[in-house]
Amino acid sequence: MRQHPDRPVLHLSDSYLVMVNSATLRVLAPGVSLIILAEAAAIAAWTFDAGPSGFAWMVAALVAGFSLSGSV
Amino acid sequence: MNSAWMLSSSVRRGSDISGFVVGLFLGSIATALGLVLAGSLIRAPLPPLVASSIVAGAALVLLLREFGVISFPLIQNARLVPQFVTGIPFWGPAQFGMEMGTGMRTYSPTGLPHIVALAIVFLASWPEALAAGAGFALARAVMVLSFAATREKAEADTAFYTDLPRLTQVFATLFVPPIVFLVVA
Repeated sequence: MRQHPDRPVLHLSDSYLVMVNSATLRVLAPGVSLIILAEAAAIAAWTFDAGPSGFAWMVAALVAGFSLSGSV
Repeated sequence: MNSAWMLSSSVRRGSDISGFVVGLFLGSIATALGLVLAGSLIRAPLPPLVASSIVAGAALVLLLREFGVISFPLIQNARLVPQFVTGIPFWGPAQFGMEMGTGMRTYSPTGLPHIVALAIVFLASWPEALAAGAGFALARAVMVLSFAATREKAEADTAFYTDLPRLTQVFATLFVPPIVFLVVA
């Protein structure tokens, strides 16, 4: 079934109280996907003790930087 | 109003986007390297365990703030980048990007950048600071590129300005694994 553009498609917990419509999802998807991929790669690298520690710094800054995206 | 919206009048021009992104990386990397320089003096007398403990303690306090357990105002500049800079081709957006990249001329709804800055001061080597600066700039670049790519500018602005700040706790959760690694490693 096709989702109406203005209909909330994602509900997180009550504490987050977020209703993200499809437009929001589209705009935030690249950044959030990048963070999740980087985080998964970093966790894999730590698990197998591979990769430089600089990657962990990049992931931490990536999350911090994207969390600022709503402000100037 | 977010930075993407401020650039919206000129952001469709490729040179303006590239200027902004170049500025982001210059500002962010210069700030990170500056923090290491300052940190090399501050941390010099400290044993590594003390430096790690300072970062861990500060991270814990700021993360508790992100989850609403405690409340206090963040140290921040809270000054907008002047809008007139966006009217100057390439170098205007580059200057705008550079100021945004420093993360020090902005309203900060989250304390995560403060944790990264503290970690750089007390723990980072030069290459690690370079990586952190690049990561911060990349994140901010993704925001403006996402905005430029969408046709619905008003909805995109709402997404960044209204919806994204509500995801504070999601970002705080995603931030925990890397900061634990940086402190423990």
